[in-house]
Amino acid sequence: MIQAPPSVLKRLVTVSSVLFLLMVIAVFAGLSLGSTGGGFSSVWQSITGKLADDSMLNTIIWQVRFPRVLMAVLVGATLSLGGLVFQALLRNPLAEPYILGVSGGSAIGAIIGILFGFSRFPGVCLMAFLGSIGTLFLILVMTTGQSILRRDSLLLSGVMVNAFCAAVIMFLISMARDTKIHNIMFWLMGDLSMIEMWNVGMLAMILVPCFILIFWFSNAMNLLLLGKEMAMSMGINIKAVTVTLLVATSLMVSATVSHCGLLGFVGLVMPHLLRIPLGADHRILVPACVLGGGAYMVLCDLLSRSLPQQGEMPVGVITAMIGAPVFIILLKKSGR
Amino acid sequence: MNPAIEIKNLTCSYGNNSVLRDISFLVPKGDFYVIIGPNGSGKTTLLKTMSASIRYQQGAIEIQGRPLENYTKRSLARTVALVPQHIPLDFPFTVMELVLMGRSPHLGILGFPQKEDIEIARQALSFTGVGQLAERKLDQLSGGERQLVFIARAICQQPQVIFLDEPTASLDLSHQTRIMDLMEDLKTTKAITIVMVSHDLNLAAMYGDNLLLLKAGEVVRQGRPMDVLSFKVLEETYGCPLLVDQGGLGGFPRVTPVPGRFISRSLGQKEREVEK
Repeated sequence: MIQAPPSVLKRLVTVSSVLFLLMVIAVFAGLSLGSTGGGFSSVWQSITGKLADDSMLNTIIWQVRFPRVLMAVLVGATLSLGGLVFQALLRNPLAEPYILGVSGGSAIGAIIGILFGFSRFPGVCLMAFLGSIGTLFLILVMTTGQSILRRDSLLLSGVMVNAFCAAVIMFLISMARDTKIHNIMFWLMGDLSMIEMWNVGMLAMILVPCFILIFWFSNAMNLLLLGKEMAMSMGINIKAVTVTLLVATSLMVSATVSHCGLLGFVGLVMPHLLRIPLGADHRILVPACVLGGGAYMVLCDLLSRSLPQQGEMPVGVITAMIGAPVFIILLKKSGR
Repeated sequence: MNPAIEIKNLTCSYGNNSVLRDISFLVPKGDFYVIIGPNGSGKTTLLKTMSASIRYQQGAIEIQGRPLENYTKRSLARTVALVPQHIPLDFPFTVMELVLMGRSPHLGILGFPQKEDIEIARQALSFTGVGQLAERKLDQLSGGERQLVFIARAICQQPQVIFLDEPTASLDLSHQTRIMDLMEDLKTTKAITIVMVSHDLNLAAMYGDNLLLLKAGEVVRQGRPMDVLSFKVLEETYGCPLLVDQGGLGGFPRVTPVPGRFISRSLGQKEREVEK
C-alpha cells in the first residue's frame, strides 16, 4: 500500500505558519536589542501602549529600529528567493545573485547613479536594474549551449563577471570625490543603518509583486528542474517562464542592492538550509525562502549591531562570514 | 481509423545542416513502434520534432488526427508524454513528487493535486512495480529504478502516446526486459501507442510491431521487423559485418555484430547469412 503524501496545500500552510512565527520572533528580537538598550519587556510595553509615546526608547524602537528591521526582512527575503530562482533556472545548486555577479552588476549601475547625483528612487534603482540585466545577459551569453548545465563553467563565468564588476567599482570609486567614498564603501559592504520608513515602503512596492509572480511560477520551476525537454513535454512555455522569472529576479535584486549594497551568499545559505527539512518542491520553498530569509537577515543584522564594542559593522561582513564556508562545503559535496 | 501519428515529407535542419530529409511514415493507433538506426541518423531529432521540442522546416506532423501546430503546449502534454534519455537530478524530489508532476498538464498553474490525482499517481507506481519507493528521494535510486519511476511519471500524465528515447540504454538485462514488458503491457491494457528510439535491434525485433530504420536523416526501410531487419539492409545501413539469423524464441530476427577476427578467416557473405 502506498501511503498518501501530505497534501501540498496543507504543507504550504504549516510551513509558512511556522516560518512566519520564526520571523515574528526575529523581528521582535531585532526591535528589542540595541546600544540604547530596551529588551523584550520594553518592546512589549511599547506595543501594548504602556510606554510613553514620546519617550526616547519608544522613538528609537519605532523610528530607528523598526524600519531597519523591516528592511532586513525584505532584503533577506529577496536575496534568498533570488538564489532559489537562479538555482532552479540554471539547474545549478550553487547559483546565487552575488556569486553570479548579478549583484555586482547592480552595484556598478547604482554607483554610476550615485555619482551622477540621481535620487535613490527611481534614478539609482533604475541604473542598478540596468546593471543587473546587463550582467545577467553577459552570463547567459557566456554559458549558452549545453555548458549551462555544467556548474563549474557557470561558476567560472560568475567569478569573471564578479572580478570585472569589482574592477569597475574600484575604478568608479577612485574617480569619486573624497566625501562620497566613505558612503559608497560602507554601502557596498552591505549596510542597513541608514534606512527610513519611506525607503521600506518604496521597496516593498517593487518586491511584493515580484514575490507573488515568482510564487505563481513555482510549479513551473519544479518542472524546469527536470530539464527543458521534460518541462516542455508537460506543457510549460519555457521562454515565457524563464524570461519572466529572470526579469522579476533581477528587478528585485537590483532594487535591494541599490538600497543596501552587496550582501553575499544569502541566496545560497537559505535555500539549501530550507531544502534539508522541506525537500525540493518550490511551491513550499518560495514562501519558505521569503519568510526564512527575512528572519535570517534580521538575525544577521542583529549580530552586526551587537558584536562590535562600539558602533557597528556592515551586515555584509556577517553574511559573507557565514555564507562563504557554506559555499565551500556545498561545492565539495557536489563535487563527489 | 486515424493513425496515432502521421508524418508527411518531414524535413528538419539545424542551420545549413539537414538532419531529417523527406521522411514519411504512419504509426497505427496502439502500435509498438521502434525507431532504429546508427548514431547520427536523426532518431532523437525525429522524436524531438514529433514532441514539438524542436521546429521543423517542411512537411506535416499529425498526432491523433490533429496537426501538431493546432495543439497548445498543454493540450499536447495531455496527449503525448515523454521519457527522455538524460534527466538532471541535482534536486531532492521524492518519487511521489516526481510522479505527481505528470499531472501538471491536467491541473492549474500551481499544480495542486486533488485526491484523484494522487490515486492516479499511485496506480502508475503500482503498474510499474515501484510503489514501495514512493517516499524515497530520486538520487537514492538505482538506474533501473529511476527509469521505472520516470515511466510511471509518463503514465500518470495519462497520454494517448508515449515517446521514449533509449529507455533501456545502460540498464542490465533484467531491467531491459522489465521495461520492455511494461511498455507492451501499456500497449495491450491501456491501448497507449508507444514510440521508442532504440539502439538495441534485438529488443526492437522482439517487441516492436513496426520498425523505422533511419540512416543519415532518411528512411531506409519501414515495416514489420521481419522485413526491416534483413541482413543486406542492415549491413548497408550500419556499414559493419553482421550476422542475422532467426532466434530460437518465436522466430524473431536476431542480429549479432561480428568481431573483426572472424572476418579475417574469410567468412564469405553467403555463409554469414545463415541458412533458414
